[in-house]
Amino acid sequence: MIEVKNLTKYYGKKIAVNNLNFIVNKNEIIGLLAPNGAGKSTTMNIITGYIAPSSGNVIIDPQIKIGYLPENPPLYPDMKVIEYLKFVSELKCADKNNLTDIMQKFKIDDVADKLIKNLSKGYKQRVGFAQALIGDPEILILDEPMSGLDPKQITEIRDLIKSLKENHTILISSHILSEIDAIADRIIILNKGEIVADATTFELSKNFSRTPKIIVRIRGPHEKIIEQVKIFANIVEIKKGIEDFATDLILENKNEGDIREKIFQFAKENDFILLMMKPFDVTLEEIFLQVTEGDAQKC
Amino acid sequence: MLAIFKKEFYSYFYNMSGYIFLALFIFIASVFFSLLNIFQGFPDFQYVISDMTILFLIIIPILTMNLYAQEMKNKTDQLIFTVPVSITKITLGKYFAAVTLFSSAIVITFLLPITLSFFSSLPLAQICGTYLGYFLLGLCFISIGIFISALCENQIAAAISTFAAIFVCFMIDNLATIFPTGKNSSALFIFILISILCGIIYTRIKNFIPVAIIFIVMTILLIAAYFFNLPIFDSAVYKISNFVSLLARFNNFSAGILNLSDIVYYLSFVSLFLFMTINTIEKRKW
Repeated sequence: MIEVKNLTKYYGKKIAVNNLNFIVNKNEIIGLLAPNGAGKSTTMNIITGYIAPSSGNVIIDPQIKIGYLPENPPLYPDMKVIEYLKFVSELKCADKNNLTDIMQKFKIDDVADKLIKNLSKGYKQRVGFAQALIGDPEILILDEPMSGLDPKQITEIRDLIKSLKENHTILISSHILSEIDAIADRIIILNKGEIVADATTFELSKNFSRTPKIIVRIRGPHEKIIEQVKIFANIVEIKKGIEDFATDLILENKNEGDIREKIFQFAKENDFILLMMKPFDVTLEEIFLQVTEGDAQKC
Repeated sequence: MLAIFKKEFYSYFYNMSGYIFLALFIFIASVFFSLLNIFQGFPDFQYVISDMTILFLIIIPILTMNLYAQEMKNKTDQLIFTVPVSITKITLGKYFAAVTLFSSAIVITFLLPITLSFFSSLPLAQICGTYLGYFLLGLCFISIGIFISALCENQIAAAISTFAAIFVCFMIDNLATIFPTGKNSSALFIFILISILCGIIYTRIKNFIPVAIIFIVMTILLIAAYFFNLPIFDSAVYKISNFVSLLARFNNFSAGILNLSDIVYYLSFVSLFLFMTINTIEKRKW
């Protein structure tokens, strides 16, 4: 649906986007994740035709309509919400009759007659988003659609984006992972204008948690635990637990099968009480930090 | 294009600029009318219109400062330049919105000569000619204004630059008379013009060789003309400024002379500036 080929953009001598290549398939939601200033908005501006690339190209069927929500919602502060949406409909030669539906979807029908300059940031963001949906575009390019929204609104917008998935192809950007990892089919991580990772969230966590870790909390005399625990060769970390008389251990499982039984036996033999045992997942946040710091392998 | 036109036209009245423009225009027209036609008892309404050319210094910046500068400031250019409407249509939509407001102000002032006609016989041909000249002059200044607005990201900067540009247009006739009329100074003046022209072409096409060729060819022609003593050097500064001057041509209209070349010149001027506006916006993409 969208094919990005060798896309490069220079601003003067500074390179903003360096040789990007990726494909967005039909009805896919792609999360474009990057720290601020890493080229997200530039990439989106090029895809929507707002700016031209220095080299490379973006291939989209010219018949397909694109809805675009830029980083700053493009609003006219002196217009009323309804006037603004009508203007966008006329501009896109779209049907004006389904504006009420769109306004209800975004819960902005209660401010339809208010001037845009008097709206809160959350409302402005939603009016900007509603604008992108006018004309029923097949492709949606959303640049940080959740910014300025409170947690409840973020959940609502996320559900809305999920509901759009059936007949839309969506490219959505963010610098906050938790906003998009729940909705994106695939995540592309950009750093300094280059793609450092392009994979599903599952693949990402699989590749970056190289060896599974397990966190164990044991109650018993701290010194005794430290003494006895040496039988495990794979201890990563020992510290006093937050609970009383408890010690937290982080163990790494280095191809020795399931070590949970061993841990249970260890506690039983030493009369320790096992309070907790759970796998220690690498979160996407950690992966993000790993890849954007540039020291991780490409995946 | 219609959507942009409607939006721009209404936006004059969303913020106060449309009302300020109309009020100012009609008020000043009425003041001139009272002074000249009522108190002094002249039936020559065309002088009122001629006097009102000075108003362009204030009203054109009001009309044009927001056209593009505000889109850049609000970042709404990301909306209008990513919908499937060409930049030409967007620019024309904006231009015609400004022209429509300007024309409606002119149409309202028709009331003044109509009132006058009940009490006296009017020099109708001269009044119509002056109105036409005034309208065409307005079209030219609006095209300068929209071009400057496309260059600026700040409305105030756009307004001041437009004021300055129109001021230069007003002063160019007077300035031309103080330049020396000799052959050497004329040749130097033409050489400077050639250099500026080549500079502008270079900033547009960013390709050195063709610009260098144009520059060398034109300089050789200039030197040849200089040594063959062609008559083009006789008070060239004055002639050239008189040719490009918008105001000098307006004086033909108010004298009742309807010259096709003047109309063509004005319309070409508008087309050139609209073309440059579109070009500026297109170029910003890169």
